[in-house]
Amino acid sequence: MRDVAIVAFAQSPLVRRQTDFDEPQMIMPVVREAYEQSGLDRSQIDFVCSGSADYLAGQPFAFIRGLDAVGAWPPLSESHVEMDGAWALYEAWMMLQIGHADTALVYGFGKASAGNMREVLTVELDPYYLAPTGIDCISTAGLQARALLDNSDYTERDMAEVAARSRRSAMSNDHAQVKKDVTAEEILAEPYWVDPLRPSDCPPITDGAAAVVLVAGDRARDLCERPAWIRGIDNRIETHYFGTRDLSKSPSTEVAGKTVGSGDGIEVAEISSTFSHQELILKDALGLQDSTEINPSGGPLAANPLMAVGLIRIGEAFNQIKNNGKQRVLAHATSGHCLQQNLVCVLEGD
Amino acid sequence: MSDTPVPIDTVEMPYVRTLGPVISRFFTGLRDGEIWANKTRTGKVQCPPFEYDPYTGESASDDWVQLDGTGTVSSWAWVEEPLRNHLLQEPFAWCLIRLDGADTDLVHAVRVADKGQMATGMRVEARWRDERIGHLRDIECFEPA
Amino acid sequence: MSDDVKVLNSVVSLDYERPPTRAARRYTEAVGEKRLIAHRCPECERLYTPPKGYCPVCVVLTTDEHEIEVSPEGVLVSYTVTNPDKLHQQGGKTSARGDVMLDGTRITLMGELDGVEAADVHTGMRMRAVWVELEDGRLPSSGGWGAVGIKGWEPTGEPDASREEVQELLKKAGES
Ligand SMILES: [Zn+2]
Repeated sequence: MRDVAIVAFAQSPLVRRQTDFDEPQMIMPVVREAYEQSGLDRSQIDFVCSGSADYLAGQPFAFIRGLDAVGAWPPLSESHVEMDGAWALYEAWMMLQIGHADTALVYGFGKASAGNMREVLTVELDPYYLAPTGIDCISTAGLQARALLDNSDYTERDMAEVAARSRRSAMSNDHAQVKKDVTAEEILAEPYWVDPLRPSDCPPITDGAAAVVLVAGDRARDLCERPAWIRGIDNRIETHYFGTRDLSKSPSTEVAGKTVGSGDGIEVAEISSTFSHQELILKDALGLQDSTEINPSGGPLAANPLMAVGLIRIGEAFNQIKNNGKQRVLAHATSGHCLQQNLVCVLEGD
Repeated sequence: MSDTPVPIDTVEMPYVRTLGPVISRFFTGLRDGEIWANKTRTGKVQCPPFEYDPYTGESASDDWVQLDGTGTVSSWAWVEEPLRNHLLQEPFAWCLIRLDGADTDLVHAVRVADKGQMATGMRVEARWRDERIGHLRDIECFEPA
Repeated sequence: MSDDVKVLNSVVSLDYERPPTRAARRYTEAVGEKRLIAHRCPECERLYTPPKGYCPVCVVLTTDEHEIEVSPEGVLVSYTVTNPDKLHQQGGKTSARGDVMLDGTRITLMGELDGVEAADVHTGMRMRAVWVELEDGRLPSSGGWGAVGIKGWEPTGEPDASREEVQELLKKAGES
């Protein structure tokens, strides 16, 4: 295995609707900032990989326009995943592992404001048995939350505590979208949206972009005072039809977590708990201890830029090492409905 | 900025999907007012049926069983305001339904007069449409049994 | 077996609201006044119309301060004549489409050629924009192709650019 580190991370403002800018305009300042942090210019980047979903923009091959933001002239060595940028980072990490590149830029972006996300995300479901029912992402999350409440000791109050703490933590995150000093009691007083979920158990709709620079070997120390070394990264998927899964658990997260050592001495975990109950499922699946601080950024409940939100978890975990002196941190990204696919990554400082 | 409203673009993609032997048999059954499930090689009864066992990747067996359309709610989520594509256009519950005789859950809708009637473990039965075409919507919804 | 259900028909239908970017709004306003605006990249000086709000070659954002007006007239540097066939009936008419290089720039814009018989089209012709009419201050959603806000190009009637002049223009456009 080669030692690979994150040396730079930048994110755009995370907002309900980015009106003045289109996708390339939204991404470009973020990529610039990541380059500046790393001290590399684009001629020194061996490989570029992005994550996005054309259905967010409603245009086939919409991701191609994203390339305008990184400069595809002279021609680039490039790839794209129709997924969150966290999976683009996974691909870039593999390119560095096999020695095809020593440096990589990864970015993820999405303007979820353009479409109706409850309808758009139905399209990613099985086209025979699920999509034709019109079931949407809030409803599938509701089925999962009920399964957790029925099959564990967790209560709606535990969910509300997660929802409230996330919005309070976000108050110290300049990039976050939903930040407020709110209590679990206030959230429990909200009427249900899709019972057992209340509005505050659900994420906001967010436009945004993020970028990360990866570097292999000792060079990372020259480019960053305190690089975050990727000590383990793994992603696992479960079957798509959630009528065949136990929704109260996340076995794919558990396996990926065990592979990378998720239960062991993690100081901070940035996890893609898109809904409040998912934090409870993920915490158990990852074996996080009570001493682990979860989502000090506020997490997806404070800002949920689809296709960038998982990459931002990795970036926020990197910031914990670079800026806050943490030594061992964890990041998690998810894809699909009801935590179908999960990526877990452990980062360490020197 | 002018205050003209933002135009709405509708993107529409029609698809005709072939079904393969297993989904074809299931949908043909629905059209005929019957619910069929298939067995995996380990004997697990899957409804809806798949060509494979999602837990082993093995092909499913050719062993089919007919279910009678009654079952138990394993999980539910109450929708007060349905979206335009939802199975029902009135307040209803999305449910995971373990049909009697099956080992997996079917995702469908349950109609009750009042949310207070909903509970995990409640018994439900299929309400069929009169006109059926071979589609999940041939079952209009499930109702308390 | 023969009457088994063999297919599933489905329609994915999704609505999108895409507010125009600032650059697009200003471009549309200019089209309403029959003016053509572009952004000039501050680094490489390339011109873009409609303005993108950035230069993809230099990877820099451009804003109102990089906006300039460009001529909606230019020289036809390439064209193609399309005859109707079974797939493209075109109302039974032969039509021409071309690339016009705007005066003082190396921008070429594509579009239908109007006001000239297909048989008479030739490179070097001087052309000017035929503007799209705005509807409620907006560009009508176009099912067609070519430059946004420009329906096509018609001859100005001025003398042609010479073959050498056209070759010089194309050479300039190819420089990176
Ligand atoms: Zn430039």
